[in-house]
Amino acid sequence: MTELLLLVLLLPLCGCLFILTTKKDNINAFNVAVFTLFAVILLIVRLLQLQNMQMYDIEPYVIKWFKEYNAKLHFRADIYSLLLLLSVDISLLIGAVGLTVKQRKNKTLMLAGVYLAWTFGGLFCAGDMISFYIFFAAQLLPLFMLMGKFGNMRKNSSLSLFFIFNFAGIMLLLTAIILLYKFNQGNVLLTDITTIGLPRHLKLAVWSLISLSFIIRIPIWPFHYWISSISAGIKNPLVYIITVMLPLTGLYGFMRFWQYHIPQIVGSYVPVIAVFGILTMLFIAIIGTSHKDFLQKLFSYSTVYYLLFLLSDILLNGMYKLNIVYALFIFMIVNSSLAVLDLWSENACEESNCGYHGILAYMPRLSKIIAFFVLIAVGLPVSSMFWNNFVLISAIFKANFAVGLGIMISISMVGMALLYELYVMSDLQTNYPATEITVEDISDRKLAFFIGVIILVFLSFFNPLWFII
Amino acid sequence: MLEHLLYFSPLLILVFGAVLFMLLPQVNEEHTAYFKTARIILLISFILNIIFYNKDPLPDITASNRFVLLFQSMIYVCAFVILFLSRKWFVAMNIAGTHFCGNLFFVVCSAYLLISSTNLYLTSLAIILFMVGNFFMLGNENKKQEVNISRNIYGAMSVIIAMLLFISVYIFWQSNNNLSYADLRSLLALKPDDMRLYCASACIIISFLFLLNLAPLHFCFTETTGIMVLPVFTYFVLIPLIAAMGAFVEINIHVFAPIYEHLAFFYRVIALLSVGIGAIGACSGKNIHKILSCGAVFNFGIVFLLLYDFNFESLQITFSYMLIYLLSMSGVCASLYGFRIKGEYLFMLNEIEGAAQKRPYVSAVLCILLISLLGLPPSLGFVGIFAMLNNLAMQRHYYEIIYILLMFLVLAYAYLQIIMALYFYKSRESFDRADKGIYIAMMLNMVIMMIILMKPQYFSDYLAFMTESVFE
Amino acid sequence: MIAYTALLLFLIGVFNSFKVSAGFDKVLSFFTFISLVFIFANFCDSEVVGSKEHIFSLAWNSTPGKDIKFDIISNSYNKQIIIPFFALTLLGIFYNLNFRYEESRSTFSSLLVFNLATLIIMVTSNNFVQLLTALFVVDILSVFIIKDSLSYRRYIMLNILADMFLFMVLAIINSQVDSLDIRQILRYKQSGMYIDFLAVSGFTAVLIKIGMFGFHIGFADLKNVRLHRLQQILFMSSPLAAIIVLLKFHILWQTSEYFIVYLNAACISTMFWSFYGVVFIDSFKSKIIYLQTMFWALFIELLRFNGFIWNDMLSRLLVAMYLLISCMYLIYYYHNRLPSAYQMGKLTIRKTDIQKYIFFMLWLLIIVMSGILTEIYNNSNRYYIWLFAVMFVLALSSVIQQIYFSEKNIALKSQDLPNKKAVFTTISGLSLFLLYEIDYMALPVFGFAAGFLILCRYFSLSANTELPTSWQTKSPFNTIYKSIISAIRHFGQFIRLFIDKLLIEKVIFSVAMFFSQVFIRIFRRIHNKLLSGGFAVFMLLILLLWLSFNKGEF
Repeated sequence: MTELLLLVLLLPLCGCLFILTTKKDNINAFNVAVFTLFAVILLIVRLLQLQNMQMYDIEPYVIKWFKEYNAKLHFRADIYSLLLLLSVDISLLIGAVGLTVKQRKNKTLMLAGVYLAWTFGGLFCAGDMISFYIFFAAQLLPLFMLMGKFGNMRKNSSLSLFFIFNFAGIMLLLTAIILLYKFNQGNVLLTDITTIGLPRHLKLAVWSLISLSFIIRIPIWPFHYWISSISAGIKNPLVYIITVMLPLTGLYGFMRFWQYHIPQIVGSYVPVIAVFGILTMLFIAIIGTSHKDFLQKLFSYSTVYYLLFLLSDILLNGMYKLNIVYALFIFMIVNSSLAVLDLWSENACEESNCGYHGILAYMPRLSKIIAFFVLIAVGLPVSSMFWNNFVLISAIFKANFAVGLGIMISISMVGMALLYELYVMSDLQTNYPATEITVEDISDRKLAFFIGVIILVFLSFFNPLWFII
Repeated sequence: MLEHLLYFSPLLILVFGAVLFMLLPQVNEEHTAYFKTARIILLISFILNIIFYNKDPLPDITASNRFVLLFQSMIYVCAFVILFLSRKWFVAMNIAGTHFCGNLFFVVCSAYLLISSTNLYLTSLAIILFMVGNFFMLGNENKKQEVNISRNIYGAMSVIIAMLLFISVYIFWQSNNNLSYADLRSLLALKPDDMRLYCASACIIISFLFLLNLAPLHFCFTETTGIMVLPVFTYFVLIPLIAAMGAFVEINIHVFAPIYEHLAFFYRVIALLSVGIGAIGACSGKNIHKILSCGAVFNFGIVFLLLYDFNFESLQITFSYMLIYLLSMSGVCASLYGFRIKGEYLFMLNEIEGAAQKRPYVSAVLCILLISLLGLPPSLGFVGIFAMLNNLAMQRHYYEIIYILLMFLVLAYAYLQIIMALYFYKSRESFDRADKGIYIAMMLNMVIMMIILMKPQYFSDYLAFMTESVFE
Repeated sequence: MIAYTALLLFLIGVFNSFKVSAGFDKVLSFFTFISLVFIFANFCDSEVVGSKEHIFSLAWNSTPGKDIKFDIISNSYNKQIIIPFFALTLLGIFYNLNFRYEESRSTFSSLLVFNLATLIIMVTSNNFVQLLTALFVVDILSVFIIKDSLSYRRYIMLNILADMFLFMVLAIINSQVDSLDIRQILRYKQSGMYIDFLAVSGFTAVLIKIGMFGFHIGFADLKNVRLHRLQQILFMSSPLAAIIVLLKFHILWQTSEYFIVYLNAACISTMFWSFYGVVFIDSFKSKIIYLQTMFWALFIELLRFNGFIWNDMLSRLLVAMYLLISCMYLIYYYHNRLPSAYQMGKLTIRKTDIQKYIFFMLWLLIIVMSGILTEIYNNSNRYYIWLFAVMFVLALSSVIQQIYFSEKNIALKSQDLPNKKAVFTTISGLSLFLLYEIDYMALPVFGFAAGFLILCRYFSLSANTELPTSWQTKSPFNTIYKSIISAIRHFGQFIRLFIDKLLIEKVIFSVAMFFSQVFIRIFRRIHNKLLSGGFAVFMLLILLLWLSFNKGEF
């Protein structure tokens, strides 16, 4: 099992090396990327199966990295990390499938995609704080490159801000880790991190730094600007999906660092985070309604849901982690699928000059698939996300009624906004074109791929882990 | 006598190289031969230096130990790298480069002396020689008008520094005729609170600050690097810093240790000032050389901060950090040789816009190295920054940690401008083909960095082994 | 028994949802109808004794915290509720078979069958998640039934909003009772937290789904939907789902003192607003929509008087109303499907016997409905049932008067219904069947029967005048809704501009840049003025050294 885990971690790195050796403007890089992601997905499913059968316990894989600093790197996997990693890899695969022929020939994009798959693998399987930090910070450069190259940034200041905000987050985490490191006289396992004895004021500082570093990634007001500024104008499905995945790292950080319980010292500050979280949710939901673009509404939607999962974790003292992970698993897949499908429709729209309104009326296949995913996103009971969200929101209501109410308002607003945009994209009657237009619908292969995704999502409604049985 | 001469052979060979290249006729077509010869001479000197590393020809005024060898080796390697890289520049410009080689040998000689010196006379002489060498190096192969102004400023500063050195030597000589480090240490140990001796020490320290380009004496360095030609820039961001740091550590351990409690505050403020000014200064320019030189000020500020009490642990961390910086910086310099349009090497941000489309590998290496300089994992820089912060945390320097990280943010903004210029603009011009040698240099650099990243322990153990001899 | 029926319905639905050729479609839909009749007959005949329950249970999903079970509970009460639903679905499929208005009749039939199966699941469910799931499915099916994107825009939006309300209400209940079992909601009373909020928001969801006053615009938009589809939506879709929710949760909501007040206010306002709609909106389909909302207001009040307990009379009333709307449909059909009631009134239909027969059926249904009301009144003894009923009859008679008795100036040879005998016989036969065991000789029945006839002849509010266009097109609710949405949007834009652009980008970012620029300028100035700068630097060094000598102390 440990060997399999190592393979999960190393395979994307090998993929990167292979991609580096491929020729420029060639589809080979894409093939390598898809193969790598697919292989990793299969490996994770196998790992999940083994874990579910409980054939044997997972031994953490330990690398003696820096003896002098007592810095052993631990890698291990549990249901949370494996399921999240699976969702990330599936999302990346969806993103890769969503690329146009021209985009598929872009080596940098493929390299960054597979590299990020590696960093996500490392991050989710990190068992100690140094390896966690390494992979947490290692994501910044490829992300920055992707944003800059494919994000259609209008202003470089937004790009700089993205880097600076994230870099600041990384620095904060590093400071906290250094402090913990000092008091433990060495590396700390993430499972033991809350047990380290620190002076009171330092404990508060360390946990505040850790929280801040993750909050910047999620992002809660007033750190939300970088993510909203970069999201605008991304027209590459893979890049968009990667951007949307970034808050997952922050969320996962909270889930891992506060694995069993929230440290007492920051427990009293949780309401403050909750207030900021709920305010951000409401702000982003309201801002989402003012956008006139599906992708931007989707972005608002995803941010609001990330905040929902964050609040679920911290308000409920980490007791509903598995529900969060189950919901996140579907959420990631749905989010990625919607991004890809929308970008396909927008591409078709550009090619045929038929206009944004009513584009889906020309593409019945795409229309049906996108409608299905929107319905899941809105919260209809077609996937395990519905049930798990119900459990989470219910628990939040128990913990704090006002927060629950704020969450309900926010998710209703973003859901309605998505639904309305779907309507705009389907409605041909109000903007009937003067001339007859033909738009190419999605191909059989793509249709088959998304039917597969739909089956994956739909069956989760009956059992979230149906695929490992 | 012959034996002593043999022990002196590395230095003599360097002197020979300096004289040879000064006298050689400047035939522009022969640049390859010149540089090849220079490299051979340097290599011979280096080999001899390694062979006789523990043989001291003049025990009263020089020292030979592993610590000295470490710094001398660093200088040799850097000089070798400079010769290797700068040949490309001289070939492209069709300039013979004999003056540059001669000048380089001269400064390497000075650096050699400076590092191995255990006597204030020799140290002062070496510093003055070093400054003279730098003065000539500044104007090397540069026809620009501004460079003369910079040279004049540097010259003026050098004169002031020389005067300070003279004052210092005079004061110490008045107190004690023998100016060997051991005697001076005894003297300072006897009178640790003597203001005169403190002032004399301060004069020496200021001269080192000047050589290390630390704030507030950094301006000669940062302002002049902007207009330097690339080989000279490569030299300035590598050799003077190593030589001065080696000698500075030695003089602090062997001489200033008794008055360290008086100097600690000064060092700390200077370090913090350098970190701040380096980071903020880097944001001000559009000139890559200037940004990188400010980065150097920043990094050496951190190095300076790490030298809080000159004990074994702090030195080990300091040298780790410094070596990682040097490795990254030499890689950065190598990649700068890859950006050329119509024979002209580029050093302004607007000139390298969109370079990544034409020179993807060079740009990628530069980008990774800049990230390494920012200490982001999984680059080697992370090891340095981690060791550095851990060390500061151990000493409970929490405010310094916050300050440094804040300044890293500011510096990140500056480096970001380079990365953005490389990647996020459309290329307007066609870049010249980069020499294979540059790719080899970059690749070697990356491989070394990767090996150290994978097994930092070996690197750390080696440094510990080399460093411990400084206390003998 | 119910589970078995639901499964059969589901299978029939699946079977009908496949695309088939036109010829086979006709055969398939016929056999579907026949098989449904058999299932219905079997369902009605099946024995469900007293309070004995048969529970079909299926472990559906198991996640940490809670397991969800899919339960279908067969008991006589559930059966009583399901029978009218089944009957209405059968009628819908029967019309589908005879009216020939669908290209693919089997597809439409499958939608109706799925809808019925889902409603059955709702009625028989005992847990929140099953109830919510079925509720969402009904909404999705309604989109397919409406099949007109412009029409269902606001309808579906409002329904999703209502679903979110219910989601929230159920989440709150679950949070307090820590159980998904609907029967456990009584435990919530003990804690009693946020009970008013729960009642108001839960009932708001019901109101939205039924299309009551204030939330009727979703239904008002449906005026362009084909009438047979509209009829299914008005009865079998979200309104019935909402009624089921009301039946399930009234026990809890009633504990709030605001509930009944809210309910009364909603019903009364709906009555008046819908009365206005029926009388003054010219579109015939709009009149039908408002007539239906009037009926729902009446129906909810009747439910309330009956203690929110379903009974046979309510079932009959529901079927009677369905038949009444069917009669309206026939009027519409024989008036060449003209959209405007005013224009319909101008037509002289040559088939006078059919016209008379339709009128007779309407009259018969008024007798049936008044008879049912009399029965319910005898049980509840609430006099203002009659007030609502009178308003309903007034509104209906106004429409009939306009179409039948206004001045005619155009002669029309309308198309005949293909299987008119079957349709007419079914409607009148069913109407007569509904009179079974009802006291149709009672005084109120007589009053309504006579009153309807008189009113139809003489009660003219909007008959001979073309109503102002502004009345038809402008609605204050449209303005209100648009204002709310645009306010939210503008607020969003304001936040985006003010907080993101102005506060963060302009202020914070600019301040940071400003300070770094200040430092840079200071350093530059020192560098540019070499002499003074150099002097300053050395002075600084001397100061620092002096300070350092004193170990950092002044």
